[in-house]
Amino acid sequence: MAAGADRFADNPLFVLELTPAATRAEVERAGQKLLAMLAVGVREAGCYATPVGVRARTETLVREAMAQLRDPNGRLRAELWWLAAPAADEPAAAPPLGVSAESDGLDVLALLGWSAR
Amino acid sequence: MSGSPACFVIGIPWMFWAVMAAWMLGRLNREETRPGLFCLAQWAVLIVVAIAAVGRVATGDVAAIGPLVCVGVLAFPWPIARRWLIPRGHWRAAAALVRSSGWVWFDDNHGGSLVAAAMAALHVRDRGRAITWIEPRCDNSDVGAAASLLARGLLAEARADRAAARAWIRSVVEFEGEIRPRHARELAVEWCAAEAASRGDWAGVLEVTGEGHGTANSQWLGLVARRVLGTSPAPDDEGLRAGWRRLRDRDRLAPLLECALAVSSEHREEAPPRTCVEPPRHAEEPWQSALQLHARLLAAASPLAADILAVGAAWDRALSETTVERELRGRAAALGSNVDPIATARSDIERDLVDLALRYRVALGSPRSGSDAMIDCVRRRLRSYVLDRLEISADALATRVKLERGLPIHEEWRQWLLLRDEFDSAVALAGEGVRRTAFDIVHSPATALAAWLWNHRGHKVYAHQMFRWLLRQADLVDDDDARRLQRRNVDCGY
Repeated sequence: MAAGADRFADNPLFVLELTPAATRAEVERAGQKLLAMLAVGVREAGCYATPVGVRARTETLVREAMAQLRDPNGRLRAELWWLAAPAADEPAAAPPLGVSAESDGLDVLALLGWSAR
Repeated sequence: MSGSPACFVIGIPWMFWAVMAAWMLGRLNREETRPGLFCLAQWAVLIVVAIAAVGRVATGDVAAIGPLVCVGVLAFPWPIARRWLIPRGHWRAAAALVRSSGWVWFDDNHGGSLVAAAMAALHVRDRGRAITWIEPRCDNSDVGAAASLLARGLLAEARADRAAARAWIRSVVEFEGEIRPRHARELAVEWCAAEAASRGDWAGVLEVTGEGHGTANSQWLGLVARRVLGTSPAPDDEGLRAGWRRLRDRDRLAPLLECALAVSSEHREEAPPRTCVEPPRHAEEPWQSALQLHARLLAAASPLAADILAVGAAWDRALSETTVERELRGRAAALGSNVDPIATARSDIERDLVDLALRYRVALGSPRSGSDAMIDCVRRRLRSYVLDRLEISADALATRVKLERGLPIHEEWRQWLLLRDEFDSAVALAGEGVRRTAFDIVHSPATALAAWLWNHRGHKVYAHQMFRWLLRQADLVDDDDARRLQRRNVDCGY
């Protein structure tokens, strides 16, 4: 089982865009539909939303998601880590402090002669 | 050419040999000769040659200009190397010239010559040849250790291995006690300050320049850091300009001065760190609420301890709800799952929070005894993890020392720095409570390594630094036996 952010990103329910209420038949239908869309290159099928951001969807990921949801233990874990509403946007990062030599493109090592400019 | 042929035949070779003798005297200069007997002899020779050469030039002997130039170069080898040879990448010439340095590198002018060569190597395109030439000489240099470590760090920089360069050069800055040659530390402080400034890490600049060991350049970078961070006393515009005007490299540093002047000189209170995780605005069911916070925490760019604590508390609320537990167990039974959903969830959550604390070096402190709150389980798991990791590293070191499988001294020192980093990070992450246990883990292997370096391998400077660190830790954990042992070791000197 994936850890950290991948626990959400690789959750089979997110990959197949399903809820924990989905039946086995719905899982199969959703999986087959996505596989067909990916096979013909439908753009919308190429990514999916997760609580940790948008991720790319591949045929392998879809097949793995279907297999996990067929397994009772895998299904239970997917349901445990299923989030109904996506996470709110990240709070804005703290504003940078005054000068950042890096952001201003200043290589102070080179300015002081510690490397070729 | 004017002047009698006899003077030419006798005088010029004499001057040549005198200059060679001055160079050799510079090479021989060592710490043990304080107050610099070889240095004084070198300058005595140089002054005699200079007077003789000036006299011959005055009589019209143009050939005496050569020895006069040589005298000037040999009198100020480091400034000349730093000003002309190093920026042009003449690493061989820089190394040969600095070998005669009497005033700046007299403690270890072999190390100084390696530093000069390594600095020059940073300015050439084909660095391979320079690295191949310098590296073996670094391994054989242990007079002062500081210069050779600095040179080794610069070679790592030449190889574009910034992490290794930072580790080696930073360790020179952190040398405890008297350091020889002092100029090695001054240059190391300047490099570390410039490197931190290049990354925009002004707090790092302030930290490294705080003790005032650096060059004029690094002191000025410290001023800029104070201005940028608004740390009291932050310099005003005139203070910054006055400091800048005193620098030799002021023209090159003008863009940085402009950037610093653009920042207000007012003192700024340090803003409290912003938390990434805020409770959901609407009351939700506890499980979904905890999940939402957990997801937000995982997506955060730089989580704080308060964020992890908040998520832990949210999970405690969710897991303590009897309805949640009943629903999850019921769902597991309905699916035909044979895993315990609560235990599985707890394990996953703890793992995620421990991983976050490790990745972002978030200090979580010591666990409360007997508490089964999520955050205390995370703290226990984190403590166990960092101590296990430290034990593995210490065991590997102990085994290597026991089998006498020595590494080149710079690699040996790097391994020591890594062990020390692991120790520091264990204490930082898991709280002061683990310092005693961590010290018990590293004390014996580290002492064995230092004793081996001191007794059998002759690297006394490195061993002395290790003993000093161990003594400091013994003081912190109040271990009388270890303190007595390390005091004796430190008193052996280097």
